[in-house]
Amino acid sequence: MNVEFINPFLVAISNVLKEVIPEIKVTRGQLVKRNAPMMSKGCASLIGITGDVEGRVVFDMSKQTAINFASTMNGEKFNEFDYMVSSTINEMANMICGGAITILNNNGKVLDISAPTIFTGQDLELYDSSMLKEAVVVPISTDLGDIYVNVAIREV
Amino acid sequence: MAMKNTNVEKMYLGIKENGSPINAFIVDDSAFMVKTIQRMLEGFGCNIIGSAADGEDAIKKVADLATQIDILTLDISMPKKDGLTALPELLKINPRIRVVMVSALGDKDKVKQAIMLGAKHFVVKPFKQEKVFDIIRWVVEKD
Repeated sequence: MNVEFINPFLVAISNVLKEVIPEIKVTRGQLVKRNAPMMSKGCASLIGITGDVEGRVVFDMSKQTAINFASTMNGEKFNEFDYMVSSTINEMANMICGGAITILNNNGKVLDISAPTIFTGQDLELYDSSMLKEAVVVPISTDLGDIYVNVAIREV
Repeated sequence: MAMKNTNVEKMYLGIKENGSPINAFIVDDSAFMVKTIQRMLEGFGCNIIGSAADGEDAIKKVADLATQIDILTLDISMPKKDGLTALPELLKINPRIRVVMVSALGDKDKVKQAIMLGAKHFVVKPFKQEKVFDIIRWVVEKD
């Protein structure tokens, strides 16, 4: 996958997390290539990308990590995964993808993103279209839990 | 009068010269964003008179409340009818409503399109309370 499409996501992840939770400690791990079905940690927010490229980005984390992020971003404690937790995680994913796509569009691409959709469950496997042969996973470690940003894009 | 960004000013920023609060309407399909924007605006003394989760719902509700709305925040990506499609219809109901577009996508073309359609401001998510403060101050000064 062209690194031109990955770098804006790295920039947006850092910018958005620090903007919405200024005190957060964020460490990015090594990028990993994946071509097998994606095994979710329990909570996966998916956003589609259309335009000059097509693909999808999945923000994968445990339900507890989702609850931790939602509690911090809303300034109130959530004890279980509910609609507001889901809405908060989807919005965080939306802001990160929006930031990345804005960088790409301002550099001459014409891209758009779909509304985020969240999936939850144990042993959740996500299978991509056969046209998306390879994904890149960006592991993000934070003091609220780990997030795996899984990007699969192909040029059209 | 020169305004300073003090806590006291923030508390009364959303109050108009006639003593009534600035009435705001929030259009966003994200419950998290509705709650966040509501909290920020109420922190300035604004009154939230309603919200809608998509463009179609917004047009119906705004038709009933139009003359009462001072400021309307409008998300772009929404189901049924997106913000850019709903914007001209909302302004047709009441051209005096000050519309602030809210979007995660902030590329030049989107901003230009929104302004050409009549939006007064364009805010890219995520945004800080200071940004909302500037917008409310702008609404107060225009009144």
